[in-house]
Amino acid sequence: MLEPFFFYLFSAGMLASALGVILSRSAIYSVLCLVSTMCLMAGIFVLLKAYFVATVLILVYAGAILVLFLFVVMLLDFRKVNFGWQGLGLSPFFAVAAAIALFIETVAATRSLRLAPPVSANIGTVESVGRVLFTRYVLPFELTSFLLLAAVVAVVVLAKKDAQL
Amino acid sequence: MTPIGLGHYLVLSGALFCIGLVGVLTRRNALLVLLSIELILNSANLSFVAFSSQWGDVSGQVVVFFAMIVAAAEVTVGLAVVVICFRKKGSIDIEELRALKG
Repeated sequence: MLEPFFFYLFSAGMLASALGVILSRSAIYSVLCLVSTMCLMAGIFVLLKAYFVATVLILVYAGAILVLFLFVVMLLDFRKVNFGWQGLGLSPFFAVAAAIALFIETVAATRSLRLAPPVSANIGTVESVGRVLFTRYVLPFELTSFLLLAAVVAVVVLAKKDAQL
Repeated sequence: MTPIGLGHYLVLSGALFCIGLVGVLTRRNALLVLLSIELILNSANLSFVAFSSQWGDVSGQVVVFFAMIVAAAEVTVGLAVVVICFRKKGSIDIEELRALKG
């Protein structure tokens, strides 16, 4: 009885926050709405018994990546930049129509699923994820260190004073 | 109430994807486009975790871990590019960043 209640509560909050991300009139409101979306998504991950990725989501995503967004938003001088809805790319009517069509397709596809009840194994703990991460997936794990190194080198090169884009 | 199954989580993931898609297509501020891309990435993460919980296979959660690392690298470089564009042109409106347009 508790699980549906928390699921609907978290998902309503997540959809409201996601709408806040795209509809806000300033970038700071959008970043803060995305932070709240991440926190609610961590709640949904805990409902799915994925405790490790819920914690990593809060620590890495909400705690580092979105804080980096906030740094950039606050450090740049945005008085000259137009944030509002009066400047739009693709006409919002067509974008919303395409998104609603895609959503109806998703609902129709998931309605046709006939699945066994979920396996209730305790697989989301740090120990079980770590065991698989360091045995079966150790090669991608080491390759991500190269990816992060490449990102750091790229940012250091780009951040030089006379950077040519 | 019907028990919350895989379908509920997939519909939620699809809704988040569609909201992020509208954000990418309609907003003209480069930072807001990047934020909408993060929203799309997280909708994929949610569907990975939902399937991992359905089949009892922890590989879905490992993929989510890797996706977060890739998102961190992409956000880092993307924000550096946005800062340089602002420094050079004074604007991060994507309609004005058309130096590569043929």
